[in-house]
Amino acid sequence: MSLGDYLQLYGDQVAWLAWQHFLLFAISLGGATLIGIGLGIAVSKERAAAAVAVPVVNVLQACPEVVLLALSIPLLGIGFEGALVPLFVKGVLPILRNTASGLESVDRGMIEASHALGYAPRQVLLRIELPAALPVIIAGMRVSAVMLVSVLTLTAYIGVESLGTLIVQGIARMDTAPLVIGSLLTAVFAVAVNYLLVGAERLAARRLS
Amino acid sequence: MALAIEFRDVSKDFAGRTAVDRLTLGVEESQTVALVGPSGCGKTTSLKMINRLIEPSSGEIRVAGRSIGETPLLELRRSLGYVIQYVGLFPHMTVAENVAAVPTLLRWPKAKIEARVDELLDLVGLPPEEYRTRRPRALSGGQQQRVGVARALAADPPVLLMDEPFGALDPITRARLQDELKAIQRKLHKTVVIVTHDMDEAVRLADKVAVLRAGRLVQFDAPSKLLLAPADSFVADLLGRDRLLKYLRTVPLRALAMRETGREEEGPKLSETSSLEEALLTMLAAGVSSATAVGAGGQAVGTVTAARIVASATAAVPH
Repeated sequence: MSLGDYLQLYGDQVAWLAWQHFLLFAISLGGATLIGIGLGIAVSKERAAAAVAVPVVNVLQACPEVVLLALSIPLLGIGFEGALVPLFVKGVLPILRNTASGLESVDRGMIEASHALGYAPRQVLLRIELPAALPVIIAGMRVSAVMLVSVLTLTAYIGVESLGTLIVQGIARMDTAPLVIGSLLTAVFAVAVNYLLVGAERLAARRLS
Repeated sequence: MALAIEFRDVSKDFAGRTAVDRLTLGVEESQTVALVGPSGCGKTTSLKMINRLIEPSSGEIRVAGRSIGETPLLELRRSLGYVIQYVGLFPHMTVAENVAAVPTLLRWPKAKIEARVDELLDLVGLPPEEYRTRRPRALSGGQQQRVGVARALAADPPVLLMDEPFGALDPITRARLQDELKAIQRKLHKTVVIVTHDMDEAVRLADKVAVLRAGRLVQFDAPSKLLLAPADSFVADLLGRDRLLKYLRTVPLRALAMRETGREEEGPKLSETSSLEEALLTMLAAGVSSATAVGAGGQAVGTVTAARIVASATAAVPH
């Protein structure tokens, strides 16, 4: 079947799978961002949090996505949750790391000045430190986002519908049309997300220079 | 006069090392006091204990008659302007937003903040319409430091704490900013505590200089007193071999110029407000031994000789 024929026949399904892919992506990146920034703040502020989180993060970081997915099946079952949790964990890591290192690289003199001027600790974090670390944090989000877009395709193996479903179908049926369409859309999605966040990163950095 | 800031037997230990050792010191209202000494003498630690960036190990510090522990921390800090060496401006905020930092924290109305920002930028010599919207990184070091001073003054705190404020600037910019700080001080009458390792800066800016060594107060005197009668060889060394010249720098020509018949005008002319040091250097450069002091209108108000300048310094030294 040619690509055109395939799209004519299954166009609606492709669009729906792309939408599912986007939803999964948005949920996992959103969640990963919230948790990554939260944990990043905790790690940079609390020695105890860093002592627990850093080794865990390093082990998980080294763990391949497929392994995480495989492990999550007996724990969480096949389906949406089983797919989201490991992705989530993987997505959290770059954001966590960049938030922590971004916050640590904020100029000490500036932080001291803000305390001395009478900023409350929470105000120092929200108004001074996080804005100053923003470009580094966005860079972490970009790494997560690009990784998530492609790794999401793997979730097809545990029964979650996404662009990966097309790839898996293509492989199973020796059919190039869904394989190419699935791969191409995933690639375009990843590249688009990358450039979007590069732009955001530049914007945030320009405010600082 | 009332004491704006008072150290009562204040000590600070860092992991067994004594940074400040039983410091007792009073800063009068509207006075400028310089804390000087070599690195590690405890001058910065002392300054940071005033706004509780560092907590003393023992003793008491009072600001405006109240123990600093009694005032809520944020309220205390907002009443103490703070300027540091590397400025610490917020790079993600404009110049105006930086200056408005404390008024914003205090939730002033927007119009009041804007008016205050413009007033302060004018005060520190940065035309508001040109600088308001700039980012700190787009400014020179001297301009950044001006913004730092404006930010510290924003909520009109009675006290200004300055930690090596001009240390990172080139000598010309530093001298200009020192002059401007003096001019601002004449206008606003703030109580200023300034930490510096630069004796010239201390002599130039301060009403009184506190010399610290290894956490202890060695001498606390007016600059002229310090220069003429250093308490010991440590203070004398810190002041340098040219300390008497520095003393002459603190005395205006007006104080010594005399009308003498027959020598109404002699040698090069200098403003009566210039220092004795300048007069002496001018004579040296011109190869003469007398000079004429002139008033603001250019009229001669008297003459002074090199010999009399030397004699005045000798006479001022207590025996």
